[in-house]
Amino acid sequence: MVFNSLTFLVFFVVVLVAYYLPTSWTVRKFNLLIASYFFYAVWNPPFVLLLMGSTVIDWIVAKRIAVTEHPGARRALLLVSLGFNLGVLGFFKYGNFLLGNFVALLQTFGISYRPPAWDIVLPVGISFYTFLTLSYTLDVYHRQLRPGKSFLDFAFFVTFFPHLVAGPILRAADFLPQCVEPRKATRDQIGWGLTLLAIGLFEKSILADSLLAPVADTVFGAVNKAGFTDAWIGTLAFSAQIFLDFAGYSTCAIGIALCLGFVLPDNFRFPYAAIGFSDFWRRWHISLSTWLRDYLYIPLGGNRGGEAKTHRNLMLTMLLGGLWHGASWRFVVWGGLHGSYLIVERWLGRIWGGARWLRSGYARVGLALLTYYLVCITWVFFRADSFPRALTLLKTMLIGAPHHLAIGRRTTMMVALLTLGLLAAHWSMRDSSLEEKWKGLRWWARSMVLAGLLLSLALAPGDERAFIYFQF
Amino acid sequence: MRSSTSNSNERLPSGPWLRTWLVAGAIALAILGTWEGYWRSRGWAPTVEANEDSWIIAWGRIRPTSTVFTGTSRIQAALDPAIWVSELGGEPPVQLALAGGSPTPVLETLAADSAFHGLIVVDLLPLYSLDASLESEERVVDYLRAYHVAQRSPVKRMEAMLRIHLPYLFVFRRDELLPGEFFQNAWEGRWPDAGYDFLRPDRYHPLYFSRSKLEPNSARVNDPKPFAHLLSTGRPAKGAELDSMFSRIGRSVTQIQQRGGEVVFILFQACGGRRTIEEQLYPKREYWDRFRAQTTGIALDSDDYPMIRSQPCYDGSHIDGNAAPAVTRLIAQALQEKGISRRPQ
Repeated sequence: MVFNSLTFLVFFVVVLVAYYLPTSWTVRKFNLLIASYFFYAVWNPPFVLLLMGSTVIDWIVAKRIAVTEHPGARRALLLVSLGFNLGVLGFFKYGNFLLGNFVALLQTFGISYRPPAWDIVLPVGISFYTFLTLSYTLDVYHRQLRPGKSFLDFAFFVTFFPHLVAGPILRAADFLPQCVEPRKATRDQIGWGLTLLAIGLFEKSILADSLLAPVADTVFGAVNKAGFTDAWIGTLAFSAQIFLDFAGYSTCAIGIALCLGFVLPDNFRFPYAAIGFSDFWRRWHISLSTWLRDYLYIPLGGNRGGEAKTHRNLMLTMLLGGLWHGASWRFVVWGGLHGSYLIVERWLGRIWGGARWLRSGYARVGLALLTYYLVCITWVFFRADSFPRALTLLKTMLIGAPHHLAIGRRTTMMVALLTLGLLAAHWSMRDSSLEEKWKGLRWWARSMVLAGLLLSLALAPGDERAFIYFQF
Repeated sequence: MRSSTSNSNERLPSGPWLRTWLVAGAIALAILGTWEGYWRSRGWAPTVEANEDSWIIAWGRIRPTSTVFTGTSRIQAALDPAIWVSELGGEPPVQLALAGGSPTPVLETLAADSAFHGLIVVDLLPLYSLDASLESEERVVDYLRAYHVAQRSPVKRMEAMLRIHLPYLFVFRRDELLPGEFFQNAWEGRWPDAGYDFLRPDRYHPLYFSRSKLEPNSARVNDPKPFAHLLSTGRPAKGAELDSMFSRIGRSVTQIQQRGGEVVFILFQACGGRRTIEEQLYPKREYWDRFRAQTTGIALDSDDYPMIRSQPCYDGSHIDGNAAPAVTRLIAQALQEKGISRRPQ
């Protein structure tokens, strides 16, 4: 079930009614838990067992860790959690990838090995909820968190449907306290929550799906026939599409949770206005980048231990961050490129860090555009179906090609205007927030904006595209 | 750093939310209502989107004794299910035809279903049924695949039901009136005329040409040139390939007949310039006549019925929606004459 479906609308109304029935807080949470399992089971019912397994194991392991003093025993318990979560993730997500690479490795030694094909279905959202449960166990292990007292609360934290399949990746310290006292959304929470839901659906259904996805699909589906302009338009379209798709999902998730009185963390802060890559990663998929920072980069040593080790840690974090997105070397390259940008940025920062010209408006705009340019180019590896196709498109973007796709002038203009609009919007709100912009509107102006969103959604084409990040 | 979608209570925008949302809803409803009223006053009526949703739901209605229609858009436009029921009784037929689709996958799937012993009415248009490129089969196979996915998921079926019935309430959900197509047409100087095709939730698809700008038997429709593109698409099966296709169909017919079911093949002939091109690609003598001679099913040719043959030619392919009830009655009577009996209600 996706947020942009009619079934979800019915589901959400039923959930709201059931949630606000005058029953005890425990019953209301239990209702939400059942609704969340149902929401997940719609994709593939047996995979609910996997979700439950991950929940139960991390609950038990964290409890045991909290009462165990012996360091070796604590480490062993942690390994159980890591082994289960990463094992499940490894099997379902990386099984075929690892097997394929193993076969290729054997072939380089002249050994021909043909294993039977594994028909593995990837459970939706597995990367998100395994990271979420892992963070809980790791926090308890590092004594940064006391294990929760209620299994219902913990299961609800793992399963709460707005974040379950595509984040934001929650932290127990932020969410579990919200489960203790009965929650009833305030009028402001419901009003703003519904507004966020409408904005998120507009981003997803209208901008990403109706306007941008067909262009990106056309170009990335025919890279050998794309000319210079086509290649750029396709890449710009995908850059905007992936932001609007994923940020749209996160905005919906935050809005839906707010309507139920729960607060989810932010996931995006106008990333296409980032000045540099460390800034970009503070603005893009924040819940993942902070997870990688806290549970990978810092444990690896972070920026302690000299430049070389910092660079190594940055690169490892970004490579694994890339691999988190999908079992393909393209994602590894995508992560590796971002790691390289971060390293180069650090290195340049040491040389020019204090330069006054860097703080001028022109320099900031120029650096933001350079960041955006590199981010766009790097998206090619993320979106293309294969390496050769990615390289073909990049070559076309850089030196052109004697081809021409029938994209049309109007589509080209539309993508260019949407890209400019997106960049202008991000830049204008770079140091602000959507709430602050909204607060600046009179009530009737807010009504006009909402009416526009509702009209757009009522007149949106009926295609139901899944969110891009569901596949991760 | 501040955030874009924060939701902590301190930063939540406050204000008269109820009034804000009520006014927003009222504005949206007023605009949509005006838009809806305007198009309805110009003779427009709602239609179902022509996609897999209605097909999935239709397939789900098949029972062992059902009457199933399959083939191309010609049978969708020609046979009115309500008239069919009034003439031949039984449950309303399940319409599984697809524009440009081949009937063979549906025929084969039902033949393989050991419980099925109903009546299958096949619109056997050689252009799509006897095309060796099999492109028209692939479309139907995709729909069948979608049906099997939906069969496993009640929520998918529910979504399909909602997507059929909810938009069917509103004219503004017609493709021509949705912003994408509407503004593209407006940009090119085309203003939508009264919609003339109405795909209904049961997949009956009448085309009321009198509401369109198409003139009957015009020089344009009689000219083969606009249809010449058909010559370069697909690949007419010949020789052994054609024999193999006939055998595939024949096997399915035999299987269904052995269980007590029946298969009826109808050739809804094209007209005007399109007929010239179709005849060039699939000469009737080599394809339909050969097929008719060897099938054990019932075969009807629209050319054998003066009432159908004399229908005005609008788009080269389809019978006018106003004539569809009479055509349905005629076909039903012809089938009764050939031994197809009325079914119990």
